[in-house]
Amino acid sequence: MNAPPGLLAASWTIARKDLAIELRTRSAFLSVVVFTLLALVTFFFAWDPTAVSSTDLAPGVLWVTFTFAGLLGLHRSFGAEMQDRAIDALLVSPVDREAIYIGKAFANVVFVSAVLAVAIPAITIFYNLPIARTVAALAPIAFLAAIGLVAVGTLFSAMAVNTRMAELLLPMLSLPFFVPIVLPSAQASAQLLAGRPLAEAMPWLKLLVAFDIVFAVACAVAYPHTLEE
Amino acid sequence: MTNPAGAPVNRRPLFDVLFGASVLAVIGAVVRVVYFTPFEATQGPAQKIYYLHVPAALSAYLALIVAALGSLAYLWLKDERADRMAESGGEVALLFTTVVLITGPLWGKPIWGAWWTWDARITLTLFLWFVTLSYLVLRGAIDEPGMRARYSAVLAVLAALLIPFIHLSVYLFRTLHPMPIVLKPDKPSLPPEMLTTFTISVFAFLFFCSMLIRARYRLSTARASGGADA
Amino acid sequence: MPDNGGYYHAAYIIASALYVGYTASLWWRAKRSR
Repeated sequence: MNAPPGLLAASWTIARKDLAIELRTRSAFLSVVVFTLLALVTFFFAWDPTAVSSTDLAPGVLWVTFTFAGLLGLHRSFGAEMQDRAIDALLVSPVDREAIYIGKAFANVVFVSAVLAVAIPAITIFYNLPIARTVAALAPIAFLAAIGLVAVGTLFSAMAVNTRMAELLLPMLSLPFFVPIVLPSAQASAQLLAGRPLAEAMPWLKLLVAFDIVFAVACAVAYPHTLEE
Repeated sequence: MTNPAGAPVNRRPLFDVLFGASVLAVIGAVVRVVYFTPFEATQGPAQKIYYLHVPAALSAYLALIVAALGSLAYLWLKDERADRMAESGGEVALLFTTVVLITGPLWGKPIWGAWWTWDARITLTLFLWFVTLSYLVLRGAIDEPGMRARYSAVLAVLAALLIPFIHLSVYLFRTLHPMPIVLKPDKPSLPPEMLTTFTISVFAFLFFCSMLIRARYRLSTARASGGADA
Repeated sequence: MPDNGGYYHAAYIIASALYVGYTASLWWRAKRSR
């Protein structure tokens, strides 16, 4: 028990800590879920249902909602640590710096996935989409999108929380980076929901996977650079 | 930042002879465009916006490259001068990107029939504008110089990584959803007179851009070595 | 020849205003930090 934990073990410990805190309070999860449901409803009322079919409307609504709900959830990811500078305790401990990022990112993926587990059935019901096809199309895309969103968002929320305008900065920094996630996700979802073959959506999915890989690695490598020596 | 004897470092002037020369170059280029370059018969006067728009875009790219390289250099060497160079490049890049985004639609509407075409290049320029702006806002939101330098350098490097993804996304989008363009002029090859004007404009603005970056860098250095109110 | 001189003038005037404005802001900020 004297050797410092390896990267994966440390990441897992940090992830578990974050998830345990969230499970106990559940406040962030509930607010994000409520926001998501309200957004889905509000968007519906913003459109003329006779002019735009709900199958055409749904993908755009889902991904925009997902983006803003994701930002809401990410904002609290590092917020807890800012109280009493609890992050200093993490930094003093002999763990690889990347482990802090990976652990938090993992906890955020679980969080976002939980929100999606509510959002996708909700949109299926509210927008009257065929359930099997919708879930089969949206769930995997949503998971890939969540990875990209969390990869970038975890890093930026770690940075933003140390600045003067955290609530404004997090969206401002993140949204340009979310476009290569939202665009392919929305396009692929629209194609699959309309019944197009999977092969047509493959370029989008490949782009999404490439983004996830590049930015998961880049953000994990970049995180220690944001910390003081 | 003082030398060992305690005397303040030489404050280089922001606007020296070289800067003045670059301003004269730009004025000369514009005079040539306005008075000594013929109008293009089929496109009309609006075609001359081209001599303003393209050099601004090239200057923006130059400034962005300075910002990106400065950021990388800072992350590697931790030299605050690299950070100041990145900051200068970023601010000047915002200026030129703004000019591109304003002259672009002013050129596009009369020539192409549309204010905005969402093609790959114009959309990427819009993104560069947003990212450069968020880079400067991030810097403005951090007081501690070390953190400011680290965070903005990380943002700059990640933004550089983002560019190919934006480009690919928009390109794929466009192949799926071609946007109709009302008028579609053939790309005219510029006759020699106009080509000369164009080349002069490009060099004049690139020169001016470099001088602006240099002036901004000197401003940063002056501030860092302690201005009147430190 | 199409009559689109308005766009031409607008572009050059706005661009000049931006370039002059930025240069002036540099000068003003330098003055302030003295």
